[in-house]
Amino acid sequence: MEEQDDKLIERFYLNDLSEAELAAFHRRMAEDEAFWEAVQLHVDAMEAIRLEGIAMLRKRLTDKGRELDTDMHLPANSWLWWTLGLAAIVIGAWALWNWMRPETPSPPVPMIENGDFAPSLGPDTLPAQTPLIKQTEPVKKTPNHQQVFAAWFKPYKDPSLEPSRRGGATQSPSERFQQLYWDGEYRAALAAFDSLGVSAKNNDNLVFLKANCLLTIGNANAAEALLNNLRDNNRSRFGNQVDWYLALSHLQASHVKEAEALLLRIAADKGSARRSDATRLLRELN
Amino acid sequence: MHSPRLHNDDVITAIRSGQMRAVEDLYTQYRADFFRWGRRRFDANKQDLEDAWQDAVIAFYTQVMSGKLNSLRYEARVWLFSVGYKRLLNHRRKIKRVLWKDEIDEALRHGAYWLDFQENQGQLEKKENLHKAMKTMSGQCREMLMQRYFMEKSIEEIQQEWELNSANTTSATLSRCLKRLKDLIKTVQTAVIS
Repeated sequence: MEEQDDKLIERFYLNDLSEAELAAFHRRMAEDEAFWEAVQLHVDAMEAIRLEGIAMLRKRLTDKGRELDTDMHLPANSWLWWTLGLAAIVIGAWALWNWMRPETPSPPVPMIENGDFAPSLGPDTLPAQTPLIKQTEPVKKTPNHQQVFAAWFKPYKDPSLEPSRRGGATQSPSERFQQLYWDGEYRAALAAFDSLGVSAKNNDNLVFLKANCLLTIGNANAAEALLNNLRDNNRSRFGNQVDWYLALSHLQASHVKEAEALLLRIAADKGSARRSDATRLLRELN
Repeated sequence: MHSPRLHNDDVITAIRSGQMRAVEDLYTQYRADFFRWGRRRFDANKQDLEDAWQDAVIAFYTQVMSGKLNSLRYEARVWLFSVGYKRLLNHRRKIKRVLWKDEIDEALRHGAYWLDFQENQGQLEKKENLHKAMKTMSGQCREMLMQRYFMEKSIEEIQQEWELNSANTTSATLSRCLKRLKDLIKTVQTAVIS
């Protein structure tokens, strides 16, 4: 009886009742209090689902907004970076050349009427080798964080991730994503992730793999945002790896202080799978 | 990086067919424009604008899914801006200028898209209770119920996504989940009353 009522209420909610059924439904609502309560409960359940759906949608839009804001801080074209870098190298080389070239005798400087205080502008006042001497002074070598990142970063893989190939069977979208990830096709994997269903996109295990793909293609800021979320959610089965990859994403994004702080925490955590890695990486950074 | 511009009917059709990507595209397409427009009119910070913009996009989605929005008199941008505008007004932000006049004002003057964002205390408490009940559910039940009743996916689509044996198994699982949710709501409501 209860099951039949539930079906009837669901059909009412979906506007699926005929006119006669609808009239009977309203009559029963007016006369049968238990039935009225069951209808109200159904309405409440639908509202709970709607609210949860809205919260899920809002989270998704917030993530998208963060991604957009991150992209906005990067120049739209990588050629701009190259041009700026090249210009900086040319200017630096020119300045160095000017600084180091042997001084040629200057033309006679016209005397300025300044009594006995006219400064001597001749070339002999400074020892010619001074810049070279300065250059040979020991300088503390600062690590190149991108190189350190490249040396340490490997997209996460473990045997559980290996996709089971099922003959000619069609792959589901999430299997396709995992297959591409496993095959090292990271850009294609990212495109495949975009076409996943909502629940798969909210699956923290898949999001962890997406973050790895982003790190591989150099999108550290987006990876940072995803890994931070994973850390907050604490639902991923790769939970014991999240901090390590988050530290690496900080490093790739040149957020060195954050990276060091997180690495210190990993190094201090006796249960962490990445404890010794974190210790060694910290040593390299300092 | 930019998504292709969607036409009004396309976006409504895409959302109806369950393409959540269309909602994201809509959100992305006019976001920066809305922020610029909102900053000119309101003394609002970025978070206010973000909230208003998200509310507008979510309202668009829910109106389309509920069948209340089948076609648009103006383009989707105007609909979204009008709803975002109303949302900002509700937060009693000081309006910098009221002399602005554009297509959004025109749409608002004609009474279009005047959604109500106000909520009273009773509604907020009820919302909180429903949220509590929903959070107590298992992850799978919660997701499946959302797919069925919020995104309006078919039983077959859900069966495929969750790799369930048959449509019957999927229906039975959904019924069990819905029953569980109702039981939880009853429990939460009883706890509040007693």
